[in-house]
Amino acid sequence: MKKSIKKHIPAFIFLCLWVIPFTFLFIDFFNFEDVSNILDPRTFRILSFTIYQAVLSTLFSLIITFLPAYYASKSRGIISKLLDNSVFIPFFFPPVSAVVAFSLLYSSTGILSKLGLKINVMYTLTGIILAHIFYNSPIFVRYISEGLKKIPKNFKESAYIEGAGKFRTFLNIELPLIMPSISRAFFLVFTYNFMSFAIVLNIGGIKYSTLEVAIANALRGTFNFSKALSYALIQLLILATINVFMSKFEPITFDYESESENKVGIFSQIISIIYLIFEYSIVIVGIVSAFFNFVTMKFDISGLINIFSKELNQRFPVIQSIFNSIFVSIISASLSVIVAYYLLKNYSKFTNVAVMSTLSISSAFLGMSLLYLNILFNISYFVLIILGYFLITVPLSYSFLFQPVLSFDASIIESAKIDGASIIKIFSKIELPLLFPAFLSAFLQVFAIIYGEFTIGYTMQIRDFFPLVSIVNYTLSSSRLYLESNALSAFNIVIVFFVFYLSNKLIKKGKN
Amino acid sequence: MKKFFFIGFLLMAFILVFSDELVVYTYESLSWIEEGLVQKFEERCNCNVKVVKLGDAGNVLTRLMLEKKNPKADVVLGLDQSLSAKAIQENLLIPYKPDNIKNIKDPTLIFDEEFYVIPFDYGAIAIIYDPDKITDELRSFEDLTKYEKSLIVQDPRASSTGQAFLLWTIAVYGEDWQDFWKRLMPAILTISPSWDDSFALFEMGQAPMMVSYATDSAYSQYYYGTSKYKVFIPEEGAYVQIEGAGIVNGAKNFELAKRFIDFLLTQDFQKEVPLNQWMFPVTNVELPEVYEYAVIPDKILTIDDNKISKNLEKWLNEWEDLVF
Repeated sequence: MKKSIKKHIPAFIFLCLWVIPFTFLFIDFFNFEDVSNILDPRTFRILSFTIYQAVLSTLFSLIITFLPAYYASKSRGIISKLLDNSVFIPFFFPPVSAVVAFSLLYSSTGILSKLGLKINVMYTLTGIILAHIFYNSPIFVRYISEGLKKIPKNFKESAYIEGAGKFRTFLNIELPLIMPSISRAFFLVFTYNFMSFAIVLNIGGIKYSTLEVAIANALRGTFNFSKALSYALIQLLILATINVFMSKFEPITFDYESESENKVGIFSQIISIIYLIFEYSIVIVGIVSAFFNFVTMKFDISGLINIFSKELNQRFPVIQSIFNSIFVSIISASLSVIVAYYLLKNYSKFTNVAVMSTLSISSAFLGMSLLYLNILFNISYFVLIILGYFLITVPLSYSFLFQPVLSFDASIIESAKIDGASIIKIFSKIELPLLFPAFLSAFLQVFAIIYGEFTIGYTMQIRDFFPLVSIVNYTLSSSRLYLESNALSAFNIVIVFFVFYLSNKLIKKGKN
Repeated sequence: MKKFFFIGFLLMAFILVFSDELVVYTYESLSWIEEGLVQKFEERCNCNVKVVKLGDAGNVLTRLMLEKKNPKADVVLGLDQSLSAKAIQENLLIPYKPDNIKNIKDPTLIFDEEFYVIPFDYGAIAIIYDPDKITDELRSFEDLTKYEKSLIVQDPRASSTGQAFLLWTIAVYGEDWQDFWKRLMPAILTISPSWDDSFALFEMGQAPMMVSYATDSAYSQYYYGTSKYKVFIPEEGAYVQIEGAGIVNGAKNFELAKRFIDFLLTQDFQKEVPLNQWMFPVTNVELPEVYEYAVIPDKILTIDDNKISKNLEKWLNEWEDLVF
């Protein structure tokens, strides 16, 4: 078999894993007549708004994060660390908590209004964009700063010697080199904004609807599975096309030496601090609401105590769900990182497009397809949820590992091969130790994403079969136990922070 | 020893194959039935009941539709008029007329004459409001249109309360319902995906009015000792949401399912409805004192089930065009 074809096989198998669950749902519920739904003016209207808000949200996120990303790449202080870690916020901060925190901060009766700042962005397009910036802009910070850090020092030094200023060097040397990082981040952020659901519904409210909202309405409002499938197909086609276009920016790899700390301008520092305040204020309000009732303006720790009480756990299995979520997250994240590494070892343009395109598949639909497998074949929820989380996180693990794996110095491996080392030995003695920080970082990011994931578990209605923490938290909130729900959100944030703290320690220890 | 294990294995297999386990699908807020009522039924029928809670009522119907080929539930609990119409249309239920159907105090509550769905509670949709912020007397639907960005409603495509509100306006205004919604639009602050989301925003003080239920003042009195929110039912009449239960087409425990439906109309079940479900029981049971605070509508409006079944998708599309 040709080597180039052999390289495509892992990506092809991965695509098959996606196709299998969808096949049964398509066979039983899809009518080809509903393809005409694509021509419906209503579909055009929804699609136009989906694209419009996604473009605006992504562009603003990029503009706002350029200076903070630049700052994070040059500085090594606490601001830089906080900027770097902000990438985890959107993944573990549940949309329900974000909406509540947003209302508490930015509504007409919110904290800022009470402080005299009459900002009311709730139920407006500005609100949607602002919430999307909060959720997705940290991805730009991480990708751009990582890209900038990897540019070899001598490139810039040569430019300075030639008489180019800082801005000119950035424009002519750094910017073209980080374009692949920007394009990858752009695709991720655009995809998340395009597929936005909870934010559009709760913060946008009246007038606004995205394709993902239309899918949910068709599934649960009019029970028209076929119409929902046609919306999902449009979504997949558009995002896959963008992905193909974005993949034109091939990664650039360097033999780089990490730069020592550079001086950064005061303007960049101020902008970075404002950005941090914006990002972390929402998280802090989310955590504080665990023990402070913003409606009555009184301290109340009963929610925090209740979530671990026997009485509450008899109705809402909080403790069991925490253990289940940790367990499932560990298994799925491990599988996801291993497979992503394997796919990157067989990197080709096809692999790239195939893997990243799966990001555009609606999680609600995947959840429904997996549920249908349970209905038809009695496959256990435990297995199905792991499969679901594995499938949705492989493209993310792939993205996180992309730069470290592809820029790995191939000459070391070649030398080891010449010395007669086996593949296992090369991996265990060379690649694993050198890539360990990247593996651990990818694993933990994926762990956090799975731990907080809501859509698949909710669509599968898994609560009575295999309770997961995000679903139990939602049921607490929908049972009017707001304090308990806020307390559980805060507890989850603390768990994820602790995991990251531990990982940083491990990475440092590994480097030493 | 081997014999002992063999007999044990046979016994286990027998229990697994022949055990009577009734599977009941319902939505999350009805989980209170697991706190005593289900056990009572288990004692009566000498069987096991497994209650599966599936988010909201929409999720329950979605699950039934997905399981059409391979039904796993015996009974479904919590379908209102419009969801019932869809379930019947999709052939998801089988009819059963309980022996104790005469216990139902008002025959008009039996919204399905073929007995696919048997009602077990009902309640009027209403507007609840904060009397500190809305000081004028509210009389009619038109009064709602006078307040700018003050009302939270639910999305009728995703929420059964939202759907009931839409049907209410159709019942009041008939063919002209879209004109009313045009007038109502400036008064709406937001359309939230569910009643829970609406209530969270309402409690935060985001808006002084929301679409909810006529028993909310009784709820508020019971839990907070004060009717901090007032209930308003316009003089045009009230729209009543009736919730029912049905036997799933393909139920594996048909006899037990029938007994469970009978059980829903007994005194034991019905007397638990007011303080747990905050809806009215369908049989003549004594109401708790706190129900003095609930608003009982003078005039009831309805829309024929067949009409709902035929037009619901069209109405939802028209509503979507109008609102978005």
